[in-house]
Amino acid sequence: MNAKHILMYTIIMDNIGFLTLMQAFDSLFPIGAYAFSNGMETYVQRGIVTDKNTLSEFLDGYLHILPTTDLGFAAKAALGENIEFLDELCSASKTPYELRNCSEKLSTAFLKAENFLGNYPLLEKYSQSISMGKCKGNHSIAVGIFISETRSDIRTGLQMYCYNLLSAMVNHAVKSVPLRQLDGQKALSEAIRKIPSAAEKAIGIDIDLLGTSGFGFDLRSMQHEKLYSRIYIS
Amino acid sequence: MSRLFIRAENENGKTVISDCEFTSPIKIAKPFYRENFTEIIMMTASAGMLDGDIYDIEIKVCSGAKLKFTGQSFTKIFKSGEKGGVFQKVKIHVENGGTLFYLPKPIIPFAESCFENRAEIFLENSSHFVMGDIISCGRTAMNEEFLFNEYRSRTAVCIDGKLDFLDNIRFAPKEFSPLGIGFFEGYSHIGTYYFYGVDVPKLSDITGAEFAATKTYRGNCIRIAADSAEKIFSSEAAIRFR
Repeated sequence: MNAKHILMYTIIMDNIGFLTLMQAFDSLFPIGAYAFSNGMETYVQRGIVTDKNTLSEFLDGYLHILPTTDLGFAAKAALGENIEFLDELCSASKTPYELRNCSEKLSTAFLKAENFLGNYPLLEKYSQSISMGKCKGNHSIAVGIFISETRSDIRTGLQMYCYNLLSAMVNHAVKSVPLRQLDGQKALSEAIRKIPSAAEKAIGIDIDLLGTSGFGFDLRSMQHEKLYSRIYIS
Repeated sequence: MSRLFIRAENENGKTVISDCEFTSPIKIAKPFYRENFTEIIMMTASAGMLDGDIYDIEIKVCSGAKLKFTGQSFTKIFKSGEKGGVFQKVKIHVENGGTLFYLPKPIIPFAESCFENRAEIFLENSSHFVMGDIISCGRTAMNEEFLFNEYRSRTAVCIDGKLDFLDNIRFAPKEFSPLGIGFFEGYSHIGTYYFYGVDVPKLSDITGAEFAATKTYRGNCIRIAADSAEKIFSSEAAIRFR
């Protein structure tokens, strides 16, 4: 193979990695993410998120905490940080029971699906650590490991994961506010512009700041446990 | 650096302070011997925490001892330079069968202040522990709301060496306004209480305050957002020694 062939080969491989990530971050990927609103249901029921503007404000706040929460844990896992350490930190920092439960359930389903679809030794190892009780299991960490396993560009992988999280939130809001589909997409397309810098922040985040969430987000997730009528698990 | 070290022990059914040292401006009043616990109140000779202040607080509660630790008044954090600020380190160890209620008074970060708190709590399997952590948005009477530079607080609770709960808070209003959705949400005070081996008080929302409770792996946590510190204190009154 000469240089040109190697370059072409790399591009083809990159596309496979990219498409594999796309599959994993597709909202239809069967891990049950549709059942968890991560507090959005409380915001809607309490009349805090009511229209496009309040949804945008919600997404801005969510994007602000992502580099120190799920996106940060995914970044550190993708960069090869000690997985058991990250897992302990991630679980302990998710104060609301429902957020922890959601992360554990999604990680189990994600690991089961990806270990069935491909051969990913590090993901397999994480599954084993969970079944041995050494780790609790967190979706963000499984995602981070998966990004590194697909040998994709970390930035692209994190940006796609970030998009997946935001688009899920918009979807929950559109279903329950009620909000016009296009208003939801408008809020999402504005939020998209902030994804690259969020991914960049996640990559460079100080380990000491990992687990810094938003007080209001936590409060609403905790209130969800006692919500009178609920469609979502979190 | 100002240091405070306290060790509480059980002596014939009474909790005594068996060891204590402090350096200026920190001091403690003579212990109050309540009916079934002993109370220590931390005071400072200064008006608050000044730029460059470092507090190093260490509390050890031995088996069978019951201690309540509070502050004398709200902790004011004074203005600091761009890089400076105040730093507080808290290390707590509660032995099996020991009880500690660690309820310092709320923190008020003044305009252009920087505050960092780092608390490490070491519990054992049957330790009893309650902690309260209250922050205000600033001196509301002076229209100093969210004008501080940075507020950081990191509390890690470990039981028998395993991390159970991590509460990491950071607000830097100049980077991102903490007023809106996801953060203070229009309230001026936020408070968090953790409970280990102690009954959680039953609280319900009142006008101007919202409560929510959840379970950590081994303990319980309550978060409160309110429009005054007093409304948060009402929950503190509901926490009782048994």
